[in-house]
Amino acid sequence: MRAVGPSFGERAAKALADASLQRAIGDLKGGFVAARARAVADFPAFEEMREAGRAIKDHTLANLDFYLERYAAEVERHGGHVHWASDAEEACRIVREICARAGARTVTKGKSMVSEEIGLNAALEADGIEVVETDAGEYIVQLAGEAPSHIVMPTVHKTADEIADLFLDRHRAHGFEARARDAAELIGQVRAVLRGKYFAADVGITGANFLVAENGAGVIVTNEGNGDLTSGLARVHIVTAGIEKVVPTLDDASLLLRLLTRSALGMEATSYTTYSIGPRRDGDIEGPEEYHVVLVDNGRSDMLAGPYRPMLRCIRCAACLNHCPVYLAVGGHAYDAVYPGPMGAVLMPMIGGHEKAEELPHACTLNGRCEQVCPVKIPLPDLLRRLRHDQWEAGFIRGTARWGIAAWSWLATRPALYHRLARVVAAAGGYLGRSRGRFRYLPLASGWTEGRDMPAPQGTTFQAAWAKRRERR
Amino acid sequence: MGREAILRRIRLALGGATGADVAAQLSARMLHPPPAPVPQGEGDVVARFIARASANLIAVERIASLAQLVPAVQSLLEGGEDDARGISVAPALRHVGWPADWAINYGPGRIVERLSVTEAFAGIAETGSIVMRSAPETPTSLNFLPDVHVVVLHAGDILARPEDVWHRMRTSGEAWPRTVNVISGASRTADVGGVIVRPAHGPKRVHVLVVGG
Amino acid sequence: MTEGAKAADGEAAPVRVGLLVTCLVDLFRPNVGFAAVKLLEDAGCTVEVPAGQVCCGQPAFNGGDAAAARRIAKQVIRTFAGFDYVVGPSGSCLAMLRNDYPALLADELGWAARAQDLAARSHELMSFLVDVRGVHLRDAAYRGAVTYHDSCAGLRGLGIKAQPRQLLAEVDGLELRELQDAETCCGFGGTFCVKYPDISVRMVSDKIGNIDMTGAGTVLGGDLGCLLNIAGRLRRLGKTTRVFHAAEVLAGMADGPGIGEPEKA
Repeated sequence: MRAVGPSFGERAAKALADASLQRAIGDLKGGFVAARARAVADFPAFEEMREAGRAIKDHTLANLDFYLERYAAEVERHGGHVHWASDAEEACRIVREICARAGARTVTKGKSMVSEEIGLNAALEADGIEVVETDAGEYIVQLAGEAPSHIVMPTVHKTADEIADLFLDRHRAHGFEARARDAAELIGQVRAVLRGKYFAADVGITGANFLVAENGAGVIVTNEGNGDLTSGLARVHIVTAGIEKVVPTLDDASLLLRLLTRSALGMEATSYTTYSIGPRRDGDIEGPEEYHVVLVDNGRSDMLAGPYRPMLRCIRCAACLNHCPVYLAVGGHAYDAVYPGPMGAVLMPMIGGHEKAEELPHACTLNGRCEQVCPVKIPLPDLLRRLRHDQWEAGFIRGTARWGIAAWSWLATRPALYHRLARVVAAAGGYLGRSRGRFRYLPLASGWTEGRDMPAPQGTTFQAAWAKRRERR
Repeated sequence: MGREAILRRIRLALGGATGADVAAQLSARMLHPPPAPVPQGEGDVVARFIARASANLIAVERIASLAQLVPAVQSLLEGGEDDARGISVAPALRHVGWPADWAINYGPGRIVERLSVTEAFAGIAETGSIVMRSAPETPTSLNFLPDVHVVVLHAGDILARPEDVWHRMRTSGEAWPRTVNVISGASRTADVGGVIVRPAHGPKRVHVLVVGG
Repeated sequence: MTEGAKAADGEAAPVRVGLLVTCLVDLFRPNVGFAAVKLLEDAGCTVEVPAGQVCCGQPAFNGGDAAAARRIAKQVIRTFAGFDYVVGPSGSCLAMLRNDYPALLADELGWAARAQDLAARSHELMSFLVDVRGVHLRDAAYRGAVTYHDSCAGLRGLGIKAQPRQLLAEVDGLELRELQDAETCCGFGGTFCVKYPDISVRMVSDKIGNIDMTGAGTVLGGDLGCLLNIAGRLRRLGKTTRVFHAAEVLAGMADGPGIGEPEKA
């Protein structure tokens, strides 16, 4: 039942000691956090818009069957095909079959978090297909053989130097002999390498920020333009998207897009917002011949029934990651999860079960900043606490964590006994600590005293001192 | 069947399938989306469009009519490399008087594309965006592949916000196109060390010619 | 003596307050409890300290044991029956009573209404003094530059932000310097600080870096958990910045050793 490999705590310790990583994620605060704050300040009705966004999402989720069916009907009316995958395995199988029928040798991919969730790249590569990520950040982590560490900026954990070293090693085959001097040169190399891939691709796979029921549109936002080149130039376009991505109308999508770009990047709009509605039409001189949408469930329909439904509002902006002091301290890889940070800590147990993500709900101080910045008002701390309750009931919380809390709770309902014990502890602690006012070391509390002193009690408890004061009156 | 299993789980979770009268309400909502709190701009939409687009590093120039299109493109080509590769022009702009000796591609974008000229469906003042709609006469690959992307936008097609564009498309009587591209800035990425680099995969420059107005 | 201790109806009305001591104040720093009593008495309240209280139930609630949290909640409700108000020197404990008890007991027959009733009567100390009693301090004094850490639960759960600052502005000689990232978590987080000590120490070190930048000689806050965490790390780093609960300064009871300081010889 216990996860193998290093724990979150061990990975976190490693991340904290990694100076290069710390430098890289230190920039997130000045970057994303400051940008979002500016964008929010520039738009006085932002709070109203958050409420409207929440309402659209809740309304859609409450009628999800209707909107999914309408979306699918519209896609099919425009000549596309909709496939429904209950889980990751089924989703991969469907995509592999489409690629096999298309005789695909090369597949380009725009950013799709759900494709990472289902492990799509590995499945396609096992079939001998070359999979090329086209988002610059995803391309870089793919080249490095790493997982992305942030759902919007996959390379947030890497410095420019590290990327230059990587390209020096891996781009020789493309004719780049010298080490690139700066970010512009590095991106120039990516542009050159990928231009040929776009034209060579048999299949282009993208995700979807939103699926629009009114006309069957899939919406993607990029700043790079890679999504359009991925979806527009290959013969077959596949969209992979979670079932919760559907929204009723283009107007609803526009409102949510205003929240998304401000919350994620502090922008009013990304450079490219693309709506794709099916394959090429009669008379079109370009565009994919086939258009497929793979709707992925993978635990989402189960979330509809219970208290976790609000998590399905998530529009993957990553504002919660950017504002979480734990994420900002250790970065995304410490979570060892497709979705890190606060939203990941809720989503991972939902889609993978408690066993896969036991620690994540505990790697949190419940400070609540995430909920404050969530554009659709997901009550993340409440959901994380609820996951802890679920874990407790299912017996996942064991050992010191369990009996420590059980012992405290037992004492807490026995005030007379507790107060006698507390007086002893306060007296002993006050006596032992009186000369220095603190303890450098405490048995049973090494977690505290590794890095901090423990202030000493004052020699008595408040209750005891209060009783004494009242006696004297 | 995957579809039935998923819909069944959803209906179970929601306490039942959507009833007929609810479905009718939902369909009505889709035809007439309710108003929402959105940024309210003030003043002339053309002026606002130009201000926002320029702030997003889209160059904007005004021309009186399509008669000035060829000279405008000419000056964007001057000082550039060898013209022999030729430019691409959307078929919608075939008949504006291009010089006979220009080797123009009226087709989809090519792997090396120096400059393309396309026609926008609309502009959005709120975000300084151009809206490109795919059609036989307006292939969308010309929006992404060239180094320089020249966009013809009629002033009367500049609307206040995206919702106005959707309304126009809904009420146009035409079928939905294969693709709508809303372009609100230059191609860029910050994936290397958080430093903003332009362009990423898209055009190096976008130049909008606002016609008339 | 505090000025204008008025109840909501504008009359100086005596009220009966049950003090929620909190387990950390009871065990580690009774001085905070006595400071709270003084401030409440000066505001025209009679203060009692029911002996049947131990804990608000946060460790169980946040640790996963919802059943134990419910048991403790019921005990608190019973213990504080009959008081006009329940007030305590902790944003996190009072947020538990105000926000979480009603949700915890929503489905329990007979308890849902009692939890709502308790919640409506429960207040964190400084917000009670300002928002309910309209208190203005007359005699408080503390010489020097001070900075203030906004504890997360009080800030986000109860909206406590302006009230401490308003009270501190009335302390003679006190210069309040705003802390950069005042609202960023200090890394205490209940059991988080011992479950993930490396991350917790990083977070409190960042907080102390910001405290240093203000040049203030004292840091104050409204939650003892945060203050023990901050003081513990300050002492380990060999820094001399003083740490008090804001109530101690407001009550004029900050003339003794600060948190983590030895008894003076």
